[in-house]
Amino acid sequence: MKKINLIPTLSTNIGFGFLFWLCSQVSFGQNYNAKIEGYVTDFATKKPIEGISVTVRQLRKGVTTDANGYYSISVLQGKYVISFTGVSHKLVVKELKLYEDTRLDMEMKESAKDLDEVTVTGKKAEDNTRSVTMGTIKLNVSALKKIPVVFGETDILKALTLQPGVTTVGEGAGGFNVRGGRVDQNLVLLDEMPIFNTSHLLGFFANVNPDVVSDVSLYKGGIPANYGGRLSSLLTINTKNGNPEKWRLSWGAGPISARVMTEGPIIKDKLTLLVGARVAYPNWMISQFPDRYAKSRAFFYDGNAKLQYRLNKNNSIALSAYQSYDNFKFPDDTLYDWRSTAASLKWSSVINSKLSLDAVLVNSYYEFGMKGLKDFYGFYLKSSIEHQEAKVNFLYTPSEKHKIEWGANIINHKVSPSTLNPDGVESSINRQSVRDEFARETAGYVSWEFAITKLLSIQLGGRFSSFSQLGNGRINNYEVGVSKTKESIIDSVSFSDGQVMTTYSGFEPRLSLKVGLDDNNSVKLSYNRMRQYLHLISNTTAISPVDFWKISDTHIQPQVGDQYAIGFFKNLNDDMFETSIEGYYKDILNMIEYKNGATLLLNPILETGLLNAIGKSYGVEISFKKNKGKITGQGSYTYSRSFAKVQTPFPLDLVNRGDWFPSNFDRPHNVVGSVSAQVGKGWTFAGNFTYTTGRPITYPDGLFIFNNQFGNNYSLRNADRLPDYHRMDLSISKDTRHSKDQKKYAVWNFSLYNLYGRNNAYSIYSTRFNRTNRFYQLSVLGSIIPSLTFNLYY
Amino acid sequence: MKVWFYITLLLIFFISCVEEVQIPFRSETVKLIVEGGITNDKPPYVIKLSYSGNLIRANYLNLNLAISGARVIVTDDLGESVEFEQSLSERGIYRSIDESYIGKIGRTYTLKVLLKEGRIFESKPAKMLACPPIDSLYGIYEDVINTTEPDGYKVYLDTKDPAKEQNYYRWYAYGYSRVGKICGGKFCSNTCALPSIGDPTSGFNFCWVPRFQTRIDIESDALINGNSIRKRPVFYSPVYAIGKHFVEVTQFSINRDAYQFWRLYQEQSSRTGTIIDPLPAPIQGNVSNINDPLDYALGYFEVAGISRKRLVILGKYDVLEVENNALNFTPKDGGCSLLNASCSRPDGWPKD
Repeated sequence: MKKINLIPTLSTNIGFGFLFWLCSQVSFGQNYNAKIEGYVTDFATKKPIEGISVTVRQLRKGVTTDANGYYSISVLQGKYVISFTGVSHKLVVKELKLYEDTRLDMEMKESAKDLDEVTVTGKKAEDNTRSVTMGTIKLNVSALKKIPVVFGETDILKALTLQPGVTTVGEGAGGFNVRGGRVDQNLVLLDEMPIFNTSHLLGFFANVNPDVVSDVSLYKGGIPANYGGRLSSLLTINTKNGNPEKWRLSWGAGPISARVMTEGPIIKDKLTLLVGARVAYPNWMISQFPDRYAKSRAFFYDGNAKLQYRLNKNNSIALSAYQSYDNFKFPDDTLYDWRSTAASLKWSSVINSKLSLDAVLVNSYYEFGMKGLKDFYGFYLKSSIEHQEAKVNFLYTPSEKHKIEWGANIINHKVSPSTLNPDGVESSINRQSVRDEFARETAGYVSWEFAITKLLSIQLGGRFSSFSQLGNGRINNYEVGVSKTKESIIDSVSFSDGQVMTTYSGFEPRLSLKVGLDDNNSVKLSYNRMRQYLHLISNTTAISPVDFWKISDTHIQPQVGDQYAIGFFKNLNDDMFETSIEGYYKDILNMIEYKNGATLLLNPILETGLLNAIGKSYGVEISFKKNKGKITGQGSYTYSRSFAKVQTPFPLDLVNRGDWFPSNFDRPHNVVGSVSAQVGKGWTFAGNFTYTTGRPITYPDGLFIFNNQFGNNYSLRNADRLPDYHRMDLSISKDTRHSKDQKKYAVWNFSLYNLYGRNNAYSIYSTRFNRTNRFYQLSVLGSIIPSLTFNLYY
Repeated sequence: MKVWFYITLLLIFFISCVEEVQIPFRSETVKLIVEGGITNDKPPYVIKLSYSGNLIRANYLNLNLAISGARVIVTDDLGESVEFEQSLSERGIYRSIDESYIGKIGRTYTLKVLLKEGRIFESKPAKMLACPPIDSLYGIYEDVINTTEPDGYKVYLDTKDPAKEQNYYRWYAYGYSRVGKICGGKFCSNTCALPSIGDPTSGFNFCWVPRFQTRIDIESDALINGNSIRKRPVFYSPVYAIGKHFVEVTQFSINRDAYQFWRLYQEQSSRTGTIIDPLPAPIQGNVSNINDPLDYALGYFEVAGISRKRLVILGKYDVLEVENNALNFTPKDGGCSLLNASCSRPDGWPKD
């Protein structure tokens, strides 16, 4: 029998409002006369747990705890069995007699230490049909250690690409694409800190250490109204709180990096600390490459720290800090380095049982540098982006049927697009820089979730955001009727420090509706509009180190995206199986495309190289999951399309004659399957299979002779496709624990990535030998890659 | 543990791989290709017209692409114009016929092409910009890491960029060296004897071997405005035999549009399949159909001011080093069997 830590506190609650009573009357036509409410906290950390399902079994009636761990259910007087279930916590069941309003607080133990369960996703099974949200993926971080990985590096982003609707342009390419969106259209928040580059080692790995992460949620649609600023998706990554009772240490190593994490109380039950770090040593591996690459050098590290101070029962403060650094050197040529530094300070307060607030201060800085090492032309190029934000969110839960959130935020953006400095006394390079850009983004939002009846819920929200580009700066006016070039500037207006140069603003409606057919079947609809004021300027297929950020200005309008989604959700066999089918359609305005041959870097009049485009994507995601039992897993099939169309009155600037063309992320068919099997004694076998249509590419469609050379003509962009991508991975992991509460143990993982060694094409290019073209396929990870990694816990 | 490290290491060798593949092909509309331009150098000026070829197989190049029967005219902003005449011997080549029509710095030129089939193409007007002189050219004998050619002279250029305007440069270079026969594992004396009767190749103990630069060499002063351009490599002259080298470098002062075109062309012809390759694009230049702007031509009509400099490298060698290296590459039957070799003294070759 499991030891259940149950601390029921009974108290009467007489402050229950008339409004709730009325609503209950309207919706159910029944007379509730006992209420059960309380807070659910983590046994170890004493932190409230959000998203725990509290269910009255006899009535099949349930609610979910809010951000403060609070829940409340009203029932007829009687004897009930109440269960508490969560993604990463052990099930707790409690039998109660309810004759008056009752308070039942619950402490739940984390199930990461539970050997019996490995789930692929972290979403609660019943959320599939019962919550109003759709298009969300929650990763179970504790299970990540047991899935197959490449080079032994557990990777949050790679795990996400096994989910429907998430793809990348190729192995070793940074970032990810959600429902055909671009990489810069994802808002990645690590403890509320935006992360502008998610790559280590040019894109092979994600730069967030999974050891310190407690939960990962990706919103592909139905993005909550309290977030905005990116079109495609929201990825929230929250780090763990330090252990409040005991100091713990864990460390581990794999072929690429070593990691360490420690956590514990500085002041018991008051102040906790968690510190985690990873350091990579890829050089010994690179030095084994053939000569041409052997002189390349690479290095990376990342570190996280979190201090959590519990002021009292209702107030806590968390300080979270993050740094990530990378460098990469090509032999005798160029050195790239990039660094993210960020910190956030969050105050969470429970004002009363119905109202709570979060106030957050954030600073995030990302910088990229490139060093040229050539004689006489030595240089150092730098670009950076800084984000300073203050925000406050209120959550008001007047009753179990209503959840109202509102808040506001203000962001100061600073972008230094590029500065070039000579390096070395003999360098002929002049100092040059493109003016820093400043902007202020403010937004307010309100969101109301209303469970109209047991089966019908609605979430209505709206966000109003406003963005002003601030001086100092200059706005160029261009001659009307001709393409924008340096020569077509007719005059320009200068602005002083802090002066408003351009303002954009707009309303962003967010709407979700759930119509339950019964407990196990529901139909959901959602619509949301997003506005994006920052753009990543990149004229390559994959994001590259020299990409830089640009803020919206007079000539570069904010991107606006509308997404419509509909889905049918069905659970079977007491939530053991979860199935869904979701369809979506997206319309995007003001996407950035590039003129052929445009100069992007160090161009003070960048608008002359850019084109305005519109985009559309649509698709269907069919997904199946098995959540319980010794064998768990999921499978999905996704059909998704993504297109762009350049809009310009100047024919010579048109791409593909102004027709719709597939975007780089248009991958129509996508099949993913993953299975995990517990075979006893701590052994777990896991396997993945993934199949995707090859990404669009442009093969030559004509030949010419120019400059006494043969050349290939590419008249249409993205008119061809790479061969299909497919891959299978396997892993065996061993957890050395004999009992679930064993403190000192190890987890070993042996992975075989790309089991059948398929040469998946990253790219195909041609080389000419006199008069013939020869085509070559480049595969980045073109063979089976075994790796062994371990983690030790103390 | 260590075992797996080594196994991993071993396998890494085979990870990133490149293999030859066959691709499906797709043929699009044939395009006009325009090449050539006008400078302030002495005429004739040359315009080359051809069509792009269709892909019959993905790797097959059709050579029968030259355009004949077109009318080619260049007009300047003062209304003066010059007609071009089709060459009789070289297909698709048109030369300006008026010897007195010379390009002038500061004037603006437009190209008009009337194809026999009826379409009329016109270039955007472009201004001829002054070109700063080449200050110096010099060659340095260097070991090169190249298994197909012997070590040789890298030729460098110095020039001074004018500060007051934005400048864009293109360089073109060619050169000659003289390569003799090999006698007894050593270079023979470099004398050009007359051939014996009945065997035209017998007497040539040496030939002049030309070398033309094929790579696109362009630069913008965006990063170095007003500074010296120093030790810019412009040419490579391989040493097949002991002797002199002759190099001529032309510096073109091109305009921004042209620079962007050349950069696009350079980018497109150097795509290597890395993760940061630019997106493929047609090398669309400044010429298009006057009735259908979507019917653009590939290539470019270039208007440029030029300056030129010649260099003779006398060649002071460590004979042993050169022989050790060059003899691996020099054909046994002498320089005359090298590509384009000729026994007639090229223009500019110094008196012995």
